[in-house]
Amino acid sequence: MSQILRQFTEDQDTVEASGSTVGECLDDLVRQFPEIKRWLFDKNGILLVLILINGEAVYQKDLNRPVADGDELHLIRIVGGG
Amino acid sequence: MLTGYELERYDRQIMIRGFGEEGQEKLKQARIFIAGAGGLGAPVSVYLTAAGAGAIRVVDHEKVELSNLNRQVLHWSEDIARSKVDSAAEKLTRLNHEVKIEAIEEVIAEANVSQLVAGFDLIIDAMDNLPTRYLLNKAALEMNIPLFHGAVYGFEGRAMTIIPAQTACLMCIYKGVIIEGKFPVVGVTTAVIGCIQAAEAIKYIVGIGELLTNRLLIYDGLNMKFTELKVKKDPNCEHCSHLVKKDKK
Repeated sequence: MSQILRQFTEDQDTVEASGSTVGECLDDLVRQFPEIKRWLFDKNGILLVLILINGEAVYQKDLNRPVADGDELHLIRIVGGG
Repeated sequence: MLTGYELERYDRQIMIRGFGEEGQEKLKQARIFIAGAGGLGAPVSVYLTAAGAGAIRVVDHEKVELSNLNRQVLHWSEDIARSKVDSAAEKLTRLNHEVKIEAIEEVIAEANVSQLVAGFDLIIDAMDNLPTRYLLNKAALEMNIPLFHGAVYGFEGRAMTIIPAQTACLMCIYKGVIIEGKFPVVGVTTAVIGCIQAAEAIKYIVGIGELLTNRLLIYDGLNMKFTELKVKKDPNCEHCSHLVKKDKK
């Protein structure tokens, strides 16, 4: 996950998460690191991160997409500073 | 035709394989629109001015504030309360008087974005917010002008180059997500990302190298890592899915 998000994962850049879908994996991540939730979703549940699964982008509508054991999800916080 | 002065001034880049006098002439003819005269706008505009771009239009509506000075290196202590574009134009003109620098103190909005970018060959995204980035993205796509994206947060940055109708655009990957609020940033991050944007712009103009298209570059300054993520055009993208590939004007 991108460096900005690691402040919530005890500075780990890779963590294991369980789930049969992308959304369930995110839920598990939030269970492990509750503070990360507000950086993943806004108050309306809109994703604030770019998710790539094995290099392919996954969007809000794809949170039910199944994942297989060993799949890698990259979480990249969307940033807008300049 | 390059003058003797120009041949000497740009000698070291003309020496680069594939660049040559022809590349320098292309730079001299290039008209570049830079949206923002802040943290990203400073390195982008400095290096494009130094490289000998033909004309640069810088648009920003803000005044220089004390808290800008850690990163917005075109603005100095004596510039506080001065228009950012005036401050930028003065420094850039002093750096290279051969480059036509145009300063416009305006808010980039839906009503004026097309007019502001019309006639330019490239758009550099040096904004500090996502909503204006989406406006620039849409205008760039509709007007068939390449967009050079950059964004920062703390020690982290992003960069990507967008060629209309050919490569993934900002809306393809960010889906219009808006993140508001004051962001932390250190000047070296905007310098790194701004220089990547300027490098992409120079490569595009000269026509050398491989552009950062369909790849989102992630810069992690704290761990000093560059990662790139392959991204694809979204066939349902509300900004670009209807566009047909056109030859550059």
